[in-house]
Amino acid sequence: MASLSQPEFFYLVLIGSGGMLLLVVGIATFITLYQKRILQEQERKRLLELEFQQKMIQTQLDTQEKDSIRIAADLHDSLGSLLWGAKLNAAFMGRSFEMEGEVKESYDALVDILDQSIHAVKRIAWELTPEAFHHSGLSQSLATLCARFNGKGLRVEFNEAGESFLWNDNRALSVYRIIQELVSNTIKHSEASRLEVDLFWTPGILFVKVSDNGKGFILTEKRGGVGWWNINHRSKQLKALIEIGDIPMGQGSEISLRIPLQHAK
Amino acid sequence: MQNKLKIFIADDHTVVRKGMSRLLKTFKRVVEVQEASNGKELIQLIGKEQPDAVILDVEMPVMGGLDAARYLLEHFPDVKILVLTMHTEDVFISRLMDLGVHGFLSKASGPEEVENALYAIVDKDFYKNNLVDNALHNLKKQPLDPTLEKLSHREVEVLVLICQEHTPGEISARLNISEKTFFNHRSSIIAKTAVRNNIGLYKFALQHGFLA
Repeated sequence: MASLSQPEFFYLVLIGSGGMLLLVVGIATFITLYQKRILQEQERKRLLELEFQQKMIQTQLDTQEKDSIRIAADLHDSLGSLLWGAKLNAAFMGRSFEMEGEVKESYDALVDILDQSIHAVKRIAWELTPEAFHHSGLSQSLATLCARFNGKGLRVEFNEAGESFLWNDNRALSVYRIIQELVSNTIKHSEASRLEVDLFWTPGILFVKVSDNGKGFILTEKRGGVGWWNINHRSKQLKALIEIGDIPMGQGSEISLRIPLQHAK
Repeated sequence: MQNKLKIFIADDHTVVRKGMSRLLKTFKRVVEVQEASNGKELIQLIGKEQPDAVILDVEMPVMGGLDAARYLLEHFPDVKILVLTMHTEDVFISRLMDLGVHGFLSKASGPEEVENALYAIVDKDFYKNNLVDNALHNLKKQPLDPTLEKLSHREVEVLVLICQEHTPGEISARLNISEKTFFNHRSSIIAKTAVRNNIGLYKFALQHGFLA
């Protein structure tokens, strides 16, 4: 083995270490870049998934809305008209025969049932989709909603303050749906005797408060339902803030919403 | 007062049409009923002979009630139109009212209401019921349009009596004028107020504070 002179040895070590160092730096850079890439890729996938989820939710909500409109129209135009046809025929019979006693009673009951059915069809159709939402706008439709539920042991009040305007686009309909869901939740579960829907309009934000004096909000059980799925996703899309008031159990409930009115006008 | 009314019905549901036709024949003043299953058929029928009034369904295939009403009001202004509908929200009634339709009934009405409505549109040119009143309930009072020609005192009297649902015969007798004079006044009022018919006059009168 040929012996190396000292400087030669030194250079060799230097070159060797340099090479090693370069290799290490190279590998480190590669690993870092690779990891970054992987992270970026993961982030991209996550965003895509999120976007996809949002789209799915949007589609689901849109489909719901379309279905409601279709079913309501069908109820009106088919079932409603057929019941009306039945009522006309019954009216003809009522005018053609002198009825008395039990026959008369039965006939009157028949007409009454037909009337009730027609009204039920109208009510169900209306609850499915407020016919005139795009003409009446949010405030008017909510006033009608509250008026419809008012009475029969429940006082429903609608108040609004601030600068209200005719808000009637799809975001407004979404707000309407949220409030409708909250109101119907109260009616179904709360045993309240008073329910209030308050709107406060400011130029940038609509504040909504739905409060009742019922048995309060059951946080765990009732919040898993389709109703809450709807409320949550709709408020997310509206970029709204939803807040469940901290009221002791048994002393009513209060739910507040802050809805940004971006370009609503 | 006409006592031999000819009525046409347009509805796409056969059961409704037949039922309505049977019911109409029990009305004292109705002598003839003809049926159409959509707006187009109705217009073809009316092209041959004119009825005193038509009963129109709003939702029909081929040609709906709105288009049929629009056509009739333009081409056969003497034919009175009674619209029957499931959609009784104010905005819809209001829109039909502005179109010039003479009366509205919800598809839940009883036979007496149908009969009253039919006679009212024939005798008084309009049928005032809760649908009309609800639709006009939120009407904002307006100052008179200064471009409109002013109504004379007699015309205001006639306008108010029309809105109180008196027939031409009653109004002429009350004011001691001939029916011909009454109709001259009415045409003049309609021209001055730029409305189509009595339901338009009613809206105008409410809007401008002629009625309490």
